[in-house]
Amino acid sequence: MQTLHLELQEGFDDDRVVARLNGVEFLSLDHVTTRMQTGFAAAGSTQAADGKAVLEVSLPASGQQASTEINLIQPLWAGVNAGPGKAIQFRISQAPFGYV
Amino acid sequence: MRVQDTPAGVMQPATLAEPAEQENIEALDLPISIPPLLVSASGLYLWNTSVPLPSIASKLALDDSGPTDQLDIVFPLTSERLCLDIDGRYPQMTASGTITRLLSQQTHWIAKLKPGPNPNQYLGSIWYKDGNVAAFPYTNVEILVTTSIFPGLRKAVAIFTGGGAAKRVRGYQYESPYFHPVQFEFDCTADAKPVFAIQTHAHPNRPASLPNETLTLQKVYQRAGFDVTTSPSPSIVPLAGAGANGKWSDQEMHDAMQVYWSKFANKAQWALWTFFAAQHEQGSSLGGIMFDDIGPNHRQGTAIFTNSFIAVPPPGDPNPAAWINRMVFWTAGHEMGHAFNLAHSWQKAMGVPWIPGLANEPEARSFMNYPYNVAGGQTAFFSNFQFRFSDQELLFLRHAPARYVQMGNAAWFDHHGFEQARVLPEPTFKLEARVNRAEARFDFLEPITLDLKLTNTSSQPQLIEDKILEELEHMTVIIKKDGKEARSFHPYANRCWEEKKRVLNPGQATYQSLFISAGRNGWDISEPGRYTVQLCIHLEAEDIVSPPLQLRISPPRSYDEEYLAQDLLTDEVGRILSFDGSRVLGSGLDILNTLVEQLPDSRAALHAKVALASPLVRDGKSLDMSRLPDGQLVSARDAQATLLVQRADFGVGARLFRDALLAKPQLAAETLSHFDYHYYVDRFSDALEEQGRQDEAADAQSTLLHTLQQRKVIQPVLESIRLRERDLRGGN
Repeated sequence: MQTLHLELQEGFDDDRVVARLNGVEFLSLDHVTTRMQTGFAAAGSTQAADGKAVLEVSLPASGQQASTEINLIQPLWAGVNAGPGKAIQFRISQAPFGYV
Repeated sequence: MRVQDTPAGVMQPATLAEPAEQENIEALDLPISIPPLLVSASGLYLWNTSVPLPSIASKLALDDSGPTDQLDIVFPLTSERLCLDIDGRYPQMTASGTITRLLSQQTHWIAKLKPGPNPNQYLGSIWYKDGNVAAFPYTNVEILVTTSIFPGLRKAVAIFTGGGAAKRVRGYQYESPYFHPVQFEFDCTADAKPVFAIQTHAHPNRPASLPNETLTLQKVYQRAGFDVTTSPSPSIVPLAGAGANGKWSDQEMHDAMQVYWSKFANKAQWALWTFFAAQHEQGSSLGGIMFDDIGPNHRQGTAIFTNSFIAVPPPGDPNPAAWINRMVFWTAGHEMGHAFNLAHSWQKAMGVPWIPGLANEPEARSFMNYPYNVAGGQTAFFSNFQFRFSDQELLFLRHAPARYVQMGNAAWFDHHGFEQARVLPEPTFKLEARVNRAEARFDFLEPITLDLKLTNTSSQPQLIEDKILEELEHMTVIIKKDGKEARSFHPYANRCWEEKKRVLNPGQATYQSLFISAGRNGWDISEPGRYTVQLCIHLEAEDIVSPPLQLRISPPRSYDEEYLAQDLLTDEVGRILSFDGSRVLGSGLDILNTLVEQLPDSRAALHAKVALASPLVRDGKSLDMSRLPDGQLVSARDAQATLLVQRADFGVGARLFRDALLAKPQLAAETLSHFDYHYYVDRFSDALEEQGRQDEAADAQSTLLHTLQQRKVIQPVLESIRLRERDLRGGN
């Protein structure tokens, strides 16, 4: 089993965010808001079997949804950013993100 | 402690308080073009009526040397500053100025400069104005500089032209190589490893042109334009302040700031507390934070966490210790930058930038960018980082209106911008804020509601938004207490109306009320003293600015008033008054009932009666969340919330309304505002009518008519009340 850390970063403003890994919901948060000092909004994590997996994040209020395939052979950190029009962007890292 | 370094890059002998700290040839190390014996002209210059400049004035033509500004004759208490940024370290080729009249009204301008045809002459167009811009119509500035190795002989003359106004000439005396003062205080916990200075060549990955020097945090900010002083020695903040887990929450740091920062005060000041601790409660992923977005005075405190990712060098780094020092130092410079209201480099265009159209700078080699997010990562960043801020950031730090930059003033991330007011020479509309009383004097605890009036002053019919005076998101309201910095009023709610236009004919006006005592900033107007209130409506093509309205709050008349104030001036009471009542804010309602009992004849009690009466005269709905388990935040659906109908208590509500609105109608119309008095009497009449009490409703309208007639309210309004009364009396 490997751990996937999901970190909601820039662009959230009182949003509801739902995240699923291989179709299983593991994060559902209301009122997600980015703290502008740090560019960090909220975080969650889940575990899954080693191998390829599909991470899917949606913002139901704006109808935005995006997914990305990840290779979970070690702990991974997925940064999720909401760009213009709340378009969802992923940043996948093998190391924790840092915020200042 | 004062370390000498200046944005001009040349030491100023007159300002050398501690020569021992001096590094005389430091400026020569830097990639700047000034030879050592040439004196720069950049810095702060001051004008006021007691500083005559005969030698400068004599250089000007006779027609320029007389009184230069009608407002200076009307308002002689004027001071004026000029920030000249044309040479030295990181010059922005910019001049900015602030004119302060009557110690409170301010006008701020910024111009981009280029050298003129004559030596020491600079020409520029004024591209930014803020504050009382109607008093400053100029569009161009010419600046003539007199340089000298003696600071006392340095002078500048600014000639303002354009905008259809007569030429305005000002002479200024050089004051300082810095644009603003600031005081730093560094405190830390025993388990933190603070870094206040670095040796710039300690790490081999650096720009080839980077001077080898001991660089302090003070020097970084001196080079950005600040006259930095530092509190004598750091305090050790006990770890107990972090609570049981030894990690720091924002609230714990805010508490520690209030205890350990020797300069702490709930007010705007050029002072900043920088706190080094081991770890934030968010964990090792947080290297630092400007934690102070708590309370009314933001951006006074910032923290760096040395047991976090910023102390973990990349594997194989050639000098891990120097890497850590540099990263902690960079983080401190970054977090302190947030306290100056600087956003992250990639957030410049977000929120409300201080000037429209700011571009993001995701690749900037600035303290405000993340080193590890640029192309090539932190190695690429530090290979080209000169330990400085970007030009865009320097423009903000040196030339933005001071209230956006100064700690404790504008809220965090707010005006990292204030939109430039675009006031036309002949505005299309006139905006007024009125209090409809002989003297704008209010009792202690008396809530303040303004009557707003927007008049079409043009010769053509104008299309306006139907709810133009209710859409506060298009309106800026500034409240300034004498002796304190101006603050922007933020109402509890912004309403979103369907877009609907209507015509306002020439000379016609539209009206609305505005409750300004309390909002999301807290009680902006509560303490005794004098206040200035000014409004600006932002229209598509122009901004409409109201004349400043001066208010005065009287001191408490009794111990009871003073004591009650502690309970009354709360968020709950502010919300109840703002929303005309509540069915759920129990403690606020209790306080208003106490006010009515203890100070029944006060103006404040009159407002309280209206707020208490409004929900009582009709049935109303409330959301029942009583099945919500303690301490959990879930949605209304998940909490199985239901809507409850709360029954009216018409008798009690009607008695309160009668007391408030009809017993002393002149007093009620004065304190509630004409607009709201009309509105509340209509509401009460509606409720009476629903109860089948047409005659009482008609009597209320009759009282309303006579009251507003005596107060000289315009005929169309009186006519509408007459018609309503006639209808209620069955058309007789």
